[in-house]
Amino acid sequence: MKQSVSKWLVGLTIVFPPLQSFSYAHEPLFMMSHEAPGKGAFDLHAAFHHERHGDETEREFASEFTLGFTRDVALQMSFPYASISEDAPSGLTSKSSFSDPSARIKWRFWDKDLLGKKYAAAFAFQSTIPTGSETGRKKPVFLTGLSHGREGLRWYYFVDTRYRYAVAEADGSRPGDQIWLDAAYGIRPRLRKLEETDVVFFVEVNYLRERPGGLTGGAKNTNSGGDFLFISPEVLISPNNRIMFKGGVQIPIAQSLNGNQEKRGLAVVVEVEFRFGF
Amino acid sequence: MKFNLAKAMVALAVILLVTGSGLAETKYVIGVDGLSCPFCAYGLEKRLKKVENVESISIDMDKGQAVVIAKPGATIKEEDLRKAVKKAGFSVSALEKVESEAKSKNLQLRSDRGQS
Repeated sequence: MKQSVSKWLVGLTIVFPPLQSFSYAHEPLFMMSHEAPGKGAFDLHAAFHHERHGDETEREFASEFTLGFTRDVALQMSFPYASISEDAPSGLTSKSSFSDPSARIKWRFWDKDLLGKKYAAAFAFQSTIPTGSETGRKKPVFLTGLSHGREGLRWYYFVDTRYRYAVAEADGSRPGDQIWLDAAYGIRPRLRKLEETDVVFFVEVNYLRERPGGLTGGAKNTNSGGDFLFISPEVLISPNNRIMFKGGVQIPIAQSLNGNQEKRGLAVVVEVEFRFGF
Repeated sequence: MKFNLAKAMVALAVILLVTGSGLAETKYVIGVDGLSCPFCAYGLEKRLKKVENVESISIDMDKGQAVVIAKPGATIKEEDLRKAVKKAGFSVSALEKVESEAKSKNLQLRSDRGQS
């Protein structure tokens, strides 16, 4: 019994993916999407992410930068500070430190502009830069995805598919591979003028299939992974066209877990985005 | 005699204002496709402001239009405007150069009022 509890805890401490949302402008907060900021753009984000999984809670503050290299290629960097606390049977433990930075390159390979709307598709690749810090890893985590969407004056849609792969640590432990399918719908109830407060509401549906991870020694962690379905309401508010406040909650609505696991809880993202250069 | 001189000066001023091409305002009306939110329009505004000889810009989201006004007496290369829109991530659907006489007419009206 003791052994299964310890396996379960090991599983918990390695399942969290990088939390950076990397959302840009009117992109939904929990998924990957296609927007590119344009050549010479420079955006600064300050993001807070909270996620609960069983007895483990992770909070992360991140500074994120978006740089527009060309009209269609952007680089995003994230520098997170993470705090992980665990209400384990042996008592509450917590650790906090600067975590692994991430770099994401996005290429919008197709777009079609029409009056008041834009259709586009993009490819993105992301990697963490392992620091080996207390809340980081010693091996990288890769994320790749394809996204497509429509942005309009009145409404939006986004769809994507993402795949996350974490390289096993030297001891053989690793989080399980993740495949995500996401869709989002957004609506702007009232179109405002350029300098007026603009409000957009989104709702995302996120499906996650997570394969079992690996335990120390490389054995399969049968108490990890599963199928998850989330719904994520969000609001994006820009008081003017240079600053945007974003907030969203990811609510698990169905979970089919492998083995003996605690259910996932809510995830929350709050973000502020500043637009600078061009 | 004094009265006639004043009349002659006003008439001369009016003729100069009406024919004075240096005061005409040159503006460029750009049809911009893909413009879907005020936040995205900021990039377009900043890009267009960097174009040489641009005095001011106004963007109408509903019409998908950017109106660029040139500095007095100057013109703007249309190719530069097209490039700026493209770099900001949008497409140009139309570009029209409009020579406006708004300033001249204004001044003429003011001059006319001065006579009465």
